[in-house]
Amino acid sequence: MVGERQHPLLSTLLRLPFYLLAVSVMIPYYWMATNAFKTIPEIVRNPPTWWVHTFTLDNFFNPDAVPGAPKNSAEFLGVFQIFANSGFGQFYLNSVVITLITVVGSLLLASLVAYVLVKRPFPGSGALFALLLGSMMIPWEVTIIPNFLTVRDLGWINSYQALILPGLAKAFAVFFFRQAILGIPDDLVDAARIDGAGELRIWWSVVLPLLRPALAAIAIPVMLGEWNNYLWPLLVVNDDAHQTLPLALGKLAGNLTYDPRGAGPMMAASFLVSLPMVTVFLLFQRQFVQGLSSGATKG
Amino acid sequence: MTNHVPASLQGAAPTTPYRRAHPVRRFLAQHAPALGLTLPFLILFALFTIWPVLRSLYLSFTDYDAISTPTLVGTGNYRALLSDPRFVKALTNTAAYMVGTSLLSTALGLLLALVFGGQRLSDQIMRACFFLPSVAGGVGLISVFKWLFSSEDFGLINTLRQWLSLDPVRFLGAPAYAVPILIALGVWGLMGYNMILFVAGLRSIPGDIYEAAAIDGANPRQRFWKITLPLLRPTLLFVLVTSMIGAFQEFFSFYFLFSDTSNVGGILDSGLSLVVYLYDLGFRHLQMGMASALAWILFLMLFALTLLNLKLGRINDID
Amino acid sequence: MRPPFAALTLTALLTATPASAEKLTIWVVGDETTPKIMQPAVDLYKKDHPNVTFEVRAVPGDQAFTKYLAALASRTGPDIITGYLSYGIEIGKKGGLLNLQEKYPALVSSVRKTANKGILESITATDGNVYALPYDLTVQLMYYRKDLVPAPPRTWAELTATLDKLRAGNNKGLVQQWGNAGWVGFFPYLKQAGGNLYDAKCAQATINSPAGVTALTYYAQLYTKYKGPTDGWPDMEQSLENGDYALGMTGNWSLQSIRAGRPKLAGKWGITMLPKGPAGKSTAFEGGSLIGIMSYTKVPDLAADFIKQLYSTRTTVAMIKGANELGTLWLPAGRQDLVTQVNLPADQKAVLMRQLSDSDGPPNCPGWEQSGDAVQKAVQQVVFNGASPKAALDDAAKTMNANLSKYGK
Repeated sequence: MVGERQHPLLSTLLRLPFYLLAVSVMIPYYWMATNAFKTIPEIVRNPPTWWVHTFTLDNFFNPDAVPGAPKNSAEFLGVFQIFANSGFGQFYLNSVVITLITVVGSLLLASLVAYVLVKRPFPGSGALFALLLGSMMIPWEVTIIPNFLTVRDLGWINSYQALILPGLAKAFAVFFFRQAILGIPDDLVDAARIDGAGELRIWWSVVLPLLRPALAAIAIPVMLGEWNNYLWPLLVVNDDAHQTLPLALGKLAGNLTYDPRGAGPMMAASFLVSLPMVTVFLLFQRQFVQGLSSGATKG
Repeated sequence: MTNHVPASLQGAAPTTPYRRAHPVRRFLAQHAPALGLTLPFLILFALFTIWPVLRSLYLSFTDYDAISTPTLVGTGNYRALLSDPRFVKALTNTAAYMVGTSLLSTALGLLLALVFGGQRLSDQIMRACFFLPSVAGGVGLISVFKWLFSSEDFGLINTLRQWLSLDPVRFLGAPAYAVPILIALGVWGLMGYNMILFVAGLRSIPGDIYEAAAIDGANPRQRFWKITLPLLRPTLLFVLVTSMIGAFQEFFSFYFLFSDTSNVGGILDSGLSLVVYLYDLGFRHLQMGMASALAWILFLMLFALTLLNLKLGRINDID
Repeated sequence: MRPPFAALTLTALLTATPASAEKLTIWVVGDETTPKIMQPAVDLYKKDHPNVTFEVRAVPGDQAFTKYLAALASRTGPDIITGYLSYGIEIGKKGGLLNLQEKYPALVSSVRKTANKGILESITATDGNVYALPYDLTVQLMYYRKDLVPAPPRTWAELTATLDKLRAGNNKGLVQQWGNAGWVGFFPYLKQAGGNLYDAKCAQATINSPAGVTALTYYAQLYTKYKGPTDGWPDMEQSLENGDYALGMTGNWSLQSIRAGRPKLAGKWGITMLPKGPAGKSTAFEGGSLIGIMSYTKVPDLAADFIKQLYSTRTTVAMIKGANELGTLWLPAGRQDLVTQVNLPADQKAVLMRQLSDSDGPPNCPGWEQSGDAVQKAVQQVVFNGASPKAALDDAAKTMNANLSKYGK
């Protein structure tokens, strides 16, 4: 709407460079997605192939390769076969569960705090908000070493709580929700209060429904951050049972060094890892934009 | 909170054993339900944000290898870092990366939002294309990038150059290209995200302002400079600040493009960032104290940067 | 996930308690095939000790140090680790690994008799302590296209002459992969010229000796005059396959992956020793991994007994055979005499054995871990910025000497 109405000077001709830019932006992803379905000889071929000549699913699961079979045989293990025991499927499940719990948990906790700060302020709530605001500037690197020591002292190494709890209190989400809640009329909250609703109930049935766009807007960055989190799981998880996808990708990338044929399963895995995020964005693009335009960027 | 009550009232008030605790009780009665709601967040926040910040400040003044107990060394770590050429190199790389990535991704994001900000299906598709890199990053795509930029004719870019009869370029084999390639990678991953933020910002500008301006005979160019840009300033500031902070803390692309099992930073440290150096010090050389000091220097610089940005934003607000 | 949190934490707790003292947890650095290489040793040990259970996991190379550090800090994790050569002294001195020399001197002295000498020197601390034993090794080799280079170069002079001829005929010459344009790449040339990073007693850095300058001058021209690729890890196998480059240098791993993954090269490639330098040596850099016992383990004797068994002829041969069947090459660093069992064509095996007897690992001097970057920088200053080799090496020596006194206490 804004684009073409206010800028008719951008005719299709002038847009052409942007279409070219879009194409070049897509190239890396296109390459990854197509390589996932190419045979290994086709992937390592030089010059490269621009589309899939021989379609194969072997990079995901190769029925002709047996785990433990010679590495120098023509058959290479698919990504679902490379990892011992439960393998890639388990890592996927871990990542999905951890990301879901983190997104839902951190959104709920942060919106509760924001609700109290705006609608039920208490002596000291201003100072608390200032503290939260200040903490947004703390790079995660500052906290990573002591947090590792804390998790160790709690005996949480190799546990889901070590992966989830440290990332649950997100100050920037509080800040974002605060902006959105400021736009909710006090009358709505007071009316619910007069009807005898408790704070928890008002938050759940009055505030949260109105926050929906803001929730969508903040969910996407939180989800991305958690889904791609590499260093923290690397530190606190040592066993297969709690392994996450970025760690698995790191392992596959390491294998590439000594054997370029590892690119097949690597690309297949990357493709699978990107799918949920791409899907979520495509489905919720509208809510995301809406949430941002009603939210804190006006801060 | 004070317990002093005017003497005149003291006699009047009924004396109860709980009298001294009264203000606290009243405070609790009034605010307990609200405070209770914030408690889960506050506990986690204190445990995993406030406590570690204090602890790392302490560690930054110690010599600590995570195995033996820390020993205090005063400001030794800070002084060692400030005179360490690798730190300086990492700082200049990071600064160059930050400026390049944040400016380019902000400018391109704004441009793309202006061009593809509409509601038409084609606009939505284009937005999805540009946004894709920010949701689909990760190690896999970095290895594709590595391949794109490989020297000789293995890499796609050099293959294309060969078709155009241009000499191959050693993008990953010459120190001068490291930061530009990282910036390209950073802008690639960030501009779509910034575009979406700008689309949202543009949406919140009321349409009737434009209509009024159109009636007054303002041309599109004037409308952009006189209306869109000033009204977009909060979004612009937000995008710029978050891009800068994000770029300043970049680890992933520096690490996966320019490190191997024995070395981080690539040729002559041309691909060394502050956070990669921090990781190298802390987790590969067991110098946790030094790494904590580096983290605190990073924190102070980010703090200064943010204040500066906010200040500049304010100054613009006045005129 | 299938089991609930509580149950998982409980199992984690249970497996970590001494109640199951007869369990050995082993982490091996490398990809997912590395645990399979150790499996024959585990099977043989289990046969003799049926009450011992094992858990063997792979840790990727670039994550290994961080993982071990995290394990040490939390005092949970593996009983036995394998790691890169520098890990032994670096972690051991801080008390992370058991001092084997002190605790199991018989084991150490028996391994000393059969181990690769270069690796052994690398992992013995200057005070004589040994925190980990040689596990496996990799060594640099020269690969070449037989059809493009009929007589592979044997000396520095022959190498440059071959490069001149190749480049005149539109071939790009030499691509070096392992350690390219860095200290690991420069190291063999330094040794071939008769130089050394430090003197024999680790009293001072000798990298800026005349031999060092000769070596760096020669090494740098491979990039400046002969335009060798400078990427961190150029694709040597692809270069040889394309025929763009007729000569390549990397570790022995390509012996296997060329055979498996480059059918077009079949019959057209060979290996040779690195070229002889002015000192008459063809020394190559050797890396590899060592095996040690974490200091917090509750079963040190069991761990030591398992490690001892690794060096028996029966186990070593079983592991080599197992690796052969997996299609990878596993070179036992503790039993150099048994390297002949690996699955290679006779001519390649002969070159490999000769190169192994003329190879050296990284230095064992204090502060080397903190000085590697300085040597890297000196090499790159010359290769990329045209700095004077003498001045660059003087700078590196200064840092090395400073670290010697800082970490040498």
